[in-house]
Amino acid sequence: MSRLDDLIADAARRDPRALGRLSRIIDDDLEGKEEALRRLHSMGGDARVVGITGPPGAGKSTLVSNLIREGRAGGLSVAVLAVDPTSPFSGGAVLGDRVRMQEHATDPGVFIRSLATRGHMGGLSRSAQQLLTLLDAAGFDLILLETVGVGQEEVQVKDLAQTVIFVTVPGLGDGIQAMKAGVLEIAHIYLVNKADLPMAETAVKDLQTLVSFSPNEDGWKPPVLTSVATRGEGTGRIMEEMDRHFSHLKASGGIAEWRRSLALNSVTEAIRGVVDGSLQHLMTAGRKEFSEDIDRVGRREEDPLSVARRWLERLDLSRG
Amino acid sequence: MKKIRVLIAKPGLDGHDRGAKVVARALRDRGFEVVYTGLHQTPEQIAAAAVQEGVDAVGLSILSGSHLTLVPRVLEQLRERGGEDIPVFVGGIIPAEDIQTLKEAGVMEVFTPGSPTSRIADAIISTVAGE
Ligand SMILES: Nc1nc2c(ncn2[C@@H]2O[C@H](COP(=O)(O)OP(=O)(O)OP(=O)(O)O)[C@@H](O)[C@H]2O)c(=O)[nH]1
Ligand SMILES: [Mg+2]
Repeated sequence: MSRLDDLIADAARRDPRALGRLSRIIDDDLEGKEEALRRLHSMGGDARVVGITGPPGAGKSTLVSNLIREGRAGGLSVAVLAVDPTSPFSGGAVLGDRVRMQEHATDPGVFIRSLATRGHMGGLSRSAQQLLTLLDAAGFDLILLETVGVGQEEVQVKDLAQTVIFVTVPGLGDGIQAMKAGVLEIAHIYLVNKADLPMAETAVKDLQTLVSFSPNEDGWKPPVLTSVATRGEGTGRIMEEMDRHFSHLKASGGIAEWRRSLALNSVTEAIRGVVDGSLQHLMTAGRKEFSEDIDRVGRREEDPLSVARRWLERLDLSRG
Repeated sequence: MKKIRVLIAKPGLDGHDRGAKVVARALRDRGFEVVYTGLHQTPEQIAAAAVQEGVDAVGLSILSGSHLTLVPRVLEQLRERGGEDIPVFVGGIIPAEDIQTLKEAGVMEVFTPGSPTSRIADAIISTVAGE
């Protein structure tokens, strides 16, 4: 058996070393990635995926840790992908979500992987969907996806998760921000965390008002819950609502819809990945010529789109 | 593109992680991805996290004086969990006579207070590149 065969076989029984190595191959575009993903894709399909999003510092990681505990108590195996931002200056990152989850580090039924955005927009990394394929193939019952602290970016988590929890805190005060960010269209459960702080009631009322305007086309009315994540308070109720939403999805055909939207997202991301890769390759190979073209556009001797088309004609997609 | 990915951990009971955080940020500024695990970590937690996170190296910050017990236990836990190939670096208040002992136990390099962070980054880069 090849090394990749071994890794995939070990990953299928949730061996942490194999999962750690494969997630590295996937996240870093290392050799074997395409072959691995081809095989992993055919293995998965049963995982429940729950996304946790919300502003920086709202308590997402603390909540994730509570949900791990609750899931484990219910006999579920749990995997976590936790995303933190990459510094645009150095390309490096400090990934700190795990600090709040370390009590579960040695639990063999739990796997936690920290991820950096690496310039990807939308609150996740480009690899997040592919890592989901890995964790799904490994057979985890529940996969939790923590996004970066989202401000007003478009939120990609809705394409990957069946259930999205939006976590906020008292005192942020403006629903307008939430509306602008479009979070009211994406979340299925709203949570006011840090309910031990003043103004929690107000935050709940504000959210309830906002939610009452939300489209809920599929007949799901998003609940507004409270929690004190640092004390574990409210976790049971959150888990109940997660289960209730999952049952709703199953009954309403929402699972099939989710599968399709995940497939659509995976294919478009894959196309983008290949095109990006070949483009990088082409531009590195033709660096000098490319730079001359840029100068010509700068001097207005040629327009950007014409230059782009000429380069696109030379794109060799087998190099992506 | 292969990033350098390291885990920075603070084993043991002392409650100061300023040094660990300074190193974490300095490594980030050199383009590393740094998984930070926080205070009071057991050797089991550190090794389990290193293996799951698929890191290229582990950095331990120890100020408590218990490095001679903690470090070998981290190395042993790494072996137990299939992470024996992950190099371990140690930073902190380590008496000169213990440095050799730690290296003999399998530690790649020891950095005492005042070591410039650039030296730490360079040591990790050359170890990881040389693998
Ligand atoms: N008072 C109070 N503090 C909390 C509560 N939940 C979390 N915190 C604190 O809020 C801070 C941030 O918590 P995290 O769980 O790291 O928040 P996060 O949303 O994951 O943060 P980012 O990933 O950086 O966006 C920590 O200091 C927590 O201890 C709560 O219910 N009440
Ligand atoms: Mg977090």
